[in-house]
This record gives sequence, structure tokens and C-alpha cells, in this order.
Amino acid sequence: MKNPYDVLGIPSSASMEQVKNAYRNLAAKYQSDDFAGGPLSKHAAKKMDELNEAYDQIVFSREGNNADYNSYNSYQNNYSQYSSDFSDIRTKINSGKIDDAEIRLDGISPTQRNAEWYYLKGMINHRRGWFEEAKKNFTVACQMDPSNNEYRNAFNSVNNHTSGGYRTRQRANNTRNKSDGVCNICSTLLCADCCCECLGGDLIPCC
Amino acid sequence: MGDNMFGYVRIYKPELKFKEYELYKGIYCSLCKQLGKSYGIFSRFILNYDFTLLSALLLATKTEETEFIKSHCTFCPVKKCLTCKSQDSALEFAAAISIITVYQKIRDDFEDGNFIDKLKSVFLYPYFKAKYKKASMRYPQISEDISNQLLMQKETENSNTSSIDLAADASAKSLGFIISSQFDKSAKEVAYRFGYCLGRFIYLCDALDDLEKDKKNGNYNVILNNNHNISFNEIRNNYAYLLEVTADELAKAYELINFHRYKSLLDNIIYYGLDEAIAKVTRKEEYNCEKSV
Repeated sequence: MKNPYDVLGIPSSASMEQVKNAYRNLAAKYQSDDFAGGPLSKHAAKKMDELNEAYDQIVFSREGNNADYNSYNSYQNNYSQYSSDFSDIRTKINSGKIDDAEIRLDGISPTQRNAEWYYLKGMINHRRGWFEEAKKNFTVACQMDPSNNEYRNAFNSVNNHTSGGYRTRQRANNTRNKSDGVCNICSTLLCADCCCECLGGDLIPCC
Repeated sequence: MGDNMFGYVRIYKPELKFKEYELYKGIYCSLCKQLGKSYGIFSRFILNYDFTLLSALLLATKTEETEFIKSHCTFCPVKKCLTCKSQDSALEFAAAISIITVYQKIRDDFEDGNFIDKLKSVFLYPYFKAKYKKASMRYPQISEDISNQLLMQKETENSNTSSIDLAADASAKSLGFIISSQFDKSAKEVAYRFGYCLGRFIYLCDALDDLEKDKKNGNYNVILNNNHNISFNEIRNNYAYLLEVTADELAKAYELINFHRYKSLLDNIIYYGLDEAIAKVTRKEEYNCEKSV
């Protein structure tokens, strides 16, 4: 296996910022339209895989034993799947590695940015607390792929329409729970009294 | 900070039980007392609802119970108040944050404000600078975090960005750091999210509240940057959803924090108080008219 720092073309003493910049520059190069569709496209794709692997290795070795970061193990097992599909980006997002996920996502060339790309960008922005950007991203994702429920749900979560927001529903739950006890008792007694009177008796004389 | 120097995130009295109201006042008074104790009598004037919420939150998540006892108000000796029995780390922290935040605001006014702001701050600056030194020595890390975020804020404003998320980011991060610093590792992420959303909420309320003032003084306002040739009322209506979405995310984080006490008081603030703040800021004209009646 190649030395990851050689793959990125930087010294092992490089700062994280330098690592990220190197990744961005090389990603832009390997995914440029110059290679797309031509005889070299397969090789460019392989270079891209190598680049991703090297970047992950460096991140792991530096930020290492962070309990959330499971991607190193999965890359060992799933090397063959390690390509420009979005599953590894999703894994990063789910384990909270937002910055890494974004670096990876932004490394994908603009011509290849499909609905899923915008959805994942939206997820990253949403995690970061950038709800306005997330809304824009989800809007584009839905426009590009209107039938996808995952994107539609994400869009709804930042638009607060229809079923009202989270707080409205929580408030309704809280009030329902509070009034249950007393209302239930009273209404049950009233019903019981009515039934009793129908049958000739009288449970509650004053009703 | 907008015209509303008392803070946006308050209790909603119509849905509050008396005992919850007494508790809220008790926390408010305890913070007042702590400010006086740690930073001198004049520091008590900076007391506001945002810091009271911070205190309530921190007191609610402590494992040890806080005892309140009857006491007397320093400013109004006839008035009785409930205050904390003993020194409390949550209140000490909230007091320090109050001082740090207010000092930064005064320094801002002193350096960049208009003539009136400068005049107001020139008297307060020396006093609060000394208190700030004391507070930041007690909590150096969070003081540094807040200062860094303030620098980021200035940079962002100077860039005149139209990105609402970017504009709110520094204030949001600031509160994220403040709140999460008081939680241990397992709860830090949720606490940070809560703080982030709260900081963002307050920033956006401020921006929407200050449309007229900022336009008049030529101050940076990210909402104005996105809206030209449209009435202020219309802008406020259009951006209500921004506050709603942020408040919802805030509530989600809130539900994941472990509270040992005061949940019903905090519920009131989160589930009614935030809506009240949104209503106040987005239906300003309407709200003010109703109030005067």
C-alpha cells in the first residue's frame, strides 16, 4: 500500500488544512471533464479511489481512536465498494464527521452533482445548524428527483408546513397527557350515571 | 442586541403555574444576588431574561438539589424574594457569562458605535473591563471562545454577506460553546446543538426586530441584505418560518437533555415562550397595537 502522504503529495508534517487543500486540488484534477468518457477515465477513477483511501488513512491516524469513527474498519472490508458512490459519505455524516463528509462531497465534480448530492449537502448543512442552506439544498434535490420520499421528508423538516412543527405536536401531546386523568374520571362517571338512570337506577343523584 | 435588552426568550405567563413563576423569579433574583456578590453592585443592572434562562437550564441539570430561601431585594427592601441558599457553581458561571457578554457589547459600542453609543459606553467601559478581567480569569477557556466568535462575527459583518446561516453562525457557536462547556462528554453534543440553535434564534430575532433601526443607521443586517424594496411588515411575515424552524430544532435538542428538576418551567419557555418571541418579532405592529389596548 502506498504511503498516503505520497499519494497526496505532501510531507507527513503537513497541517490538517494543508491535507484538505491537497485533497481538494487532486480531487478536482481526477474528476475534471478532461478525463470523463475518454480512454483515461477508468484510470482517473482509480486514482480517485486511491486518493480517498489515503485521505481516510491520514484522518484516522491523526484523529485516531475517536469512538464515532468506524469508517476505517469498513474501508478495510469494503475496499471494492470504495468509489464515488455516496454510502461512505452517508456513514461519515451519521457518525458526526461533518467536515470530512463535506470535503468528500465537495470533491465531486459539479457535472456529477445529482439529486443525492444535493440531499447529502443539505444533510451536512442541517447538522451544522445552517437551516437556510439546507432548505435550498433539499429544494434542489426534490426538483431533481420529485419521487424520492427521503428527499421530500427532509424538505418538509426545514419548511415547517402542513402538520405543524415539532413544538406544536409536543404541546398537543403535553396538554393531552395533562388533562387525561381528570377528564377521564368525570366523563366516565357521567356515562355510568346516564346508563344507570336508563336502567332505572341513579348513580349520582344530583345529575 | 436589539431594542430588547431584556432578552427575547422569556416565560409565557398565561400558561405558567404560580409555583413555576415563583421559581423563575427565584432564579432571576438569585442571579442578581450572585452578580452583586461576585462582581459588585452595579453589575446587577445587566441582569436579563436570556441569562436567567441560562441559569435555569444549568440549575436544572445539576445532580445536587438547589435550596431556595426567603430573602430581601437589595433594590426594593420592601419586596421579598427567594434566593439560592448557598454559593452555586451554575449561578457563578451564568454571572460570569453575563459579565463577559455585556463587556464585549460595551467594547463594541465604544470602538465601533455611533456617537451616542460611544458616549453611553465611555462611562461603563472602565468598570466592566475590570469585571471582565475577573470573570475571564475564572473561566479562561470560554472567555477565549467567546472572543474568537466575536472576531468571526466582525469579519462576517465586514464581508457584508447575504448568507443568513453564515451571519448567525458566530453568535450561534458562541452559545453552543457556552452551554456545552457545562456538560460532560456524553451530553456535550446535544447541549451544543441546543446552545447553537438558541444562539441562532436570538440572533435572528434581533435581526428581524432591528430592521428599521439598522436601515436608518446603515448597520449590517443580513435580512435587509436579502430584501430590498419590500415593506418591513412583509419581510417579518416572510421570515417567520426561519424562526419556527430554528425553534423546532431547538426543541428537539431540548428533549434529549436530562433534566433533574424544573422541567415544567423550562417546558413553558420552550413550548410557549419561543412562540411568544416569534409573535412579538414578526407581528411587531400588530403586537404593539394590541398591547396598548
